[in-house]
Amino acid sequence: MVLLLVAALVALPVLMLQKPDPGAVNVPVPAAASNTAEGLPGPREALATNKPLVSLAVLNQSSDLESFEAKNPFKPIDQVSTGGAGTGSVPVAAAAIPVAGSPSASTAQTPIGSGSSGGGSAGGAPVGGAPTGSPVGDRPTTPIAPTTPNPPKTPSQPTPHKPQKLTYAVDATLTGPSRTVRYRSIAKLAMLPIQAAPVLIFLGVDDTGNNAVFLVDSTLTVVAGEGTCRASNMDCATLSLEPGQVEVFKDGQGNRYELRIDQIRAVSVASAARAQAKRLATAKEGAAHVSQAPRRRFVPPMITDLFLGESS
Amino acid sequence: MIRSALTGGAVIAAASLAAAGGVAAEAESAGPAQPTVERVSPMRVSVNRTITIRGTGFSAVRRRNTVILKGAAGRLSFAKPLTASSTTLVVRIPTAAERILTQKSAGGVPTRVSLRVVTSRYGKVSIRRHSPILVSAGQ
Repeated sequence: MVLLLVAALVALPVLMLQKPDPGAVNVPVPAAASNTAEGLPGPREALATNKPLVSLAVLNQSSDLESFEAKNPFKPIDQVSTGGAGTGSVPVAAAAIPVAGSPSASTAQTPIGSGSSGGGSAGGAPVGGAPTGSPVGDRPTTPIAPTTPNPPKTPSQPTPHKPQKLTYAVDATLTGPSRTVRYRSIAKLAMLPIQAAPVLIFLGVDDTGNNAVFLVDSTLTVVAGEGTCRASNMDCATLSLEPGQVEVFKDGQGNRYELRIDQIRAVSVASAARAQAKRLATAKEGAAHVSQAPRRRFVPPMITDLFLGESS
Repeated sequence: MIRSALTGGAVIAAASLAAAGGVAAEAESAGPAQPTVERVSPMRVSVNRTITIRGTGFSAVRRRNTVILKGAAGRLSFAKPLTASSTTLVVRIPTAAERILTQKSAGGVPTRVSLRVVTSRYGKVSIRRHSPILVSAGQ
């Protein structure tokens, strides 16, 4: 008894370490598969009745991955739909989808793998069709239009804005002993009040764009004003005035001058040149020109004394 | 043959220079030149006396020229010429120019004044060598 047990202990590992015989191993057929295979019609019947077909030869084939066609996931879709048909021994379901109403619907279910590539004793077993057995012929037949990729939207390039050359135009009012003269867009180096006997020479607008600068004759002395005099108020050689500011002078004979800057405008050089040419041609001050930039006009505050309303 | 060719080349070269000069002249005539004072006489002048200013870029129209005298502390005095040409201005120093002299207790003292001629362009200020000394009327 003990010997028997020892022999069994020795024999059991030996038997377990033995290699299995490949010929003796049976491929286990799933019960469901075998049942289905039994219930399915034969190949010829399937062809005749247009029924789905599953070949037992497929079930008997080894599950070798090499039997499948190598799939390139990056293959273009048009090559995938056409290139796969009939190339391999294994039917490609995508190529076998019939289109309802089309004459190829019947041919779509023909064994596309027939020929020399079927292999085995089955001799090109008629496999194909819709492997799932679903009625693909009843599907709505909406042809899938090839989607053309939309061209990438190029960002609309802004039209290059051409910089405009601007200059300043100054409007001023000079009140002299005898009259008041309003100057519109004073020309540079203009002599005020008259060219024959100037007491003020308009130089232009300073780099800040806020001050009109005048040369002041030594005959004038500053009485009052809001402008900036250099070298001093007593010896005013250059006068800077902002829009809305007023400077009052008095000359040696006691005549009173009041200079007021109405506004400083930015205008295009072209329009200023046109205005200058027109002014020279007509020998008149104040040629009209178009303002190209927002004006910096001095607007006095509006004082309201009377208004309409209900009394409280 | 060679001589005629050289002559022709010289003619062509002369024509090119003339054309270039013409272009330069046109370029200058596109805008008035900047007035420049080159010589002043006399260099010492009293108020109410005349000086002669020679230079370039002046206007031949008398009233279009204005002479700015710049004296002590940057004070200015404007003067209109008596006569004018494109190169010469004759100017009487106005009485108001007394104000631009350096003031001392005894009154205005001789002061060097720089000149600037204004036409339609703002002229260059005269250099010291061409800036006369202005003296009071009584001196």
